[in-house]
Amino acid sequence: MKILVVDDAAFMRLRLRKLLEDQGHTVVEAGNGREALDRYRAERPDLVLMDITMPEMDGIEAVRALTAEDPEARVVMVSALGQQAMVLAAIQAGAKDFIVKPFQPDRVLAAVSKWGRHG
Amino acid sequence: MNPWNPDTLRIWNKLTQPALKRAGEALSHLTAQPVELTGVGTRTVAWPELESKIHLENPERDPVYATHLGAFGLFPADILLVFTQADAARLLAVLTGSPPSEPFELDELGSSALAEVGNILGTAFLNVFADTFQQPWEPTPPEVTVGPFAEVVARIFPHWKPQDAVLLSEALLRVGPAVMEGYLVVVPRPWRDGSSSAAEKGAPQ
Repeated sequence: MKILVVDDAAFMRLRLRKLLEDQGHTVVEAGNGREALDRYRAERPDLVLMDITMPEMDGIEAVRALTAEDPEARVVMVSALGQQAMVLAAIQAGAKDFIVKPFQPDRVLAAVSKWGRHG
Repeated sequence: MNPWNPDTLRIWNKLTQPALKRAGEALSHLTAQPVELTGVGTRTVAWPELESKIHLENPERDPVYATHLGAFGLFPADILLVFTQADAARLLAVLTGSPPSEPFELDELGSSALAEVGNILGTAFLNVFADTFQQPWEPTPPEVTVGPFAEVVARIFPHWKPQDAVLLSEALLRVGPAVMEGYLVVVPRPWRDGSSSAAEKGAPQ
């Protein structure tokens, strides 16, 4: 599966990349919401893992723009901002799931398996 | 002048413990180590007293590694997570699985890791308040600053003056039996112009 990891923290992108590549997935990266939109158009990933708090364009705005452009886009939020209002906002914007940081690796892999486009 | 609505202050005091506890749990998850919290609480201090919280041999010269986040929504506030150089090095060694470099130098990945630790711990604190008030309380992207503690604080909090009495919530977080220690402090900004925060408008009873 090709997975786009969107997070402004290089450290977190590296952690997710290692976890996903160890499972045989291909990872592409973006450092903010605006960059994510460009990468999505270029790469057409099977799943997007999206942070919320990022400079330039935050994750909620990016999900809204992404799903408006491609209603079939599969986005799972991975954010420390696990507040009820933010989870609701993310789901309303088009996210399929919400994983709160610090994440458990198994939780991420289960979401990838459930929401990623297979084959 | 006490800029705080008494109801808001009561709730701030009440939620500080569980919010800091949540931050400690987040650090424990991140490091896969037990985390002990000490000195947990809320107090009003003369601003320069903050410096005494960090144990530095030479406070005027020894650098601290500080991650700062602003917070907006429920209360305007600032969050600061501070480590000595030795503690920052030990924390990064735990997070990356590599021994600290000698002499320690903060590279781009290390800086990103410290920023993310501050983001996760600070946001864990905010989440407790936000869910209680049922209003969002969001952080700004984290920034890492390195330098003598007094300089770092002056750079991050230019609006505080030495004579100010500052309300803050704080805790020392000790990771593992002897891995490292960090200082987490959350400082709400007062409303000097008589305006009220989102929290004061919607404080739960």
